[in-house]
Amino acid sequence: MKRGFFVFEPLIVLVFISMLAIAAFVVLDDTTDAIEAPLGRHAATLAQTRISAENDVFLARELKARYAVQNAVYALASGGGRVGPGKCQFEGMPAPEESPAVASRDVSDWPTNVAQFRQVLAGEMPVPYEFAVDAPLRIKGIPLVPEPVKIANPILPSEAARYVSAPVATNSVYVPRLAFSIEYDYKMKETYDAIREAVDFIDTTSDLGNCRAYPTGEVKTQCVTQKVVELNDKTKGLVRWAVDVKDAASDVYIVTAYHEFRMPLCKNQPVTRIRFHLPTLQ
Amino acid sequence: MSRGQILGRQFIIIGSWIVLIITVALAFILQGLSGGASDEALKVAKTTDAQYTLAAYLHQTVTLNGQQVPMAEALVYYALMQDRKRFEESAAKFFALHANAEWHALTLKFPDGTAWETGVRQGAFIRGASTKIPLPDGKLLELEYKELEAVRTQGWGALAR
Repeated sequence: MKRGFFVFEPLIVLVFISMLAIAAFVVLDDTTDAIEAPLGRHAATLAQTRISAENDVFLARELKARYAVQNAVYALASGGGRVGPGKCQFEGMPAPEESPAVASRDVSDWPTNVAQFRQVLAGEMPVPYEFAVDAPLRIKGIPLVPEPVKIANPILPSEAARYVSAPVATNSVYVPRLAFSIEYDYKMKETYDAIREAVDFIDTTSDLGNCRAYPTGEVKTQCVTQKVVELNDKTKGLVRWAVDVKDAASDVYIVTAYHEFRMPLCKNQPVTRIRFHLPTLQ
Repeated sequence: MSRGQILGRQFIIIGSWIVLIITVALAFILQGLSGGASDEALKVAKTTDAQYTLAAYLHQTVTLNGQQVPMAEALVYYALMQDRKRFEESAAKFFALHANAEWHALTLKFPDGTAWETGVRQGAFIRGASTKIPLPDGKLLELEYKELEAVRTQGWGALAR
């Protein structure tokens, strides 16, 4: 009995293992079918296309859009209420030319600024996007037209015919770009409102205490300097003021407003240079 | 029992064991060979996964000069400032989010041909992923991500996402 068991035991094990092996191969075969099925491959290719598009197409485009936004902020800042020639100085790149001062009357209001900002941005963007500019500066990029990324359909028509339950009619698939959002903690509205109020503070003709009341010369210069010092207190955290160029003989004063908020990649500070002509009141 | 019968039984026993061992060995060999059919699908999955990891790194939000920006923009800043230390710190911080932080590598290649490497330097890398990042002047940085085969042999759950 014992001997018989030892004689036949390996054969029994062999048969048992063979049955397991057959079952395993059947299961494996099913799995391979599932992975290799057209729809499985189709889904895998779609996933790969979407992610590679995110890395290789959309990321590059969004970065270019970000550079455009930073440049547009500088262009607007340098022009006060209109588009100026200002530019972000990216690290390792030459310093941009100093922006000319704009007349104080050119510094317009916030809605005009935003409209100008959009125009600049639209011109600099690599592809047409819609913008919603809020305060703080937030830009929502929404493609105006679908931006497809075309890839070949991995399922051949002859192959698709074998899978009636999974019809795939097109020869290509598209991965459209989703909307993106760029946000900077740049208090644009507050900054430009502060500049406009400052211009009114210096430039008003109705204020008896303004510098126009003084005769041309040192006293008037002292008045302008004093007012600029006062401005620094009024616009603290938004704009820092300095009297850069004085031509007291002709009652022209150039004041530079340094915006406190900066764009992340820009080495220089956005500035608005304003020219005040303050002839003495008769 | 005659000597012939004894030898016959021994032959059957030994022969059965040999057949059993050969069968088991064949099963392993065939299983290994059958993997070839799904290799392509697996390769696509692995590549996609590496691209996903790269995308996750580039889309992290980081603070740069007081502003919240995606890692891609910060990376441009580090490159422009030649701030290798911050690049390496960002990579180490990202790798630390994963189950096996020491098995990943990031390489930043500059337009002039130089490169910053961080993470694991040697070992059997699986196919990684790379992308080109535009600089403000139109030149391109290339960022390459690789990970060791060991990450995958630990199973798909090895990466804590």
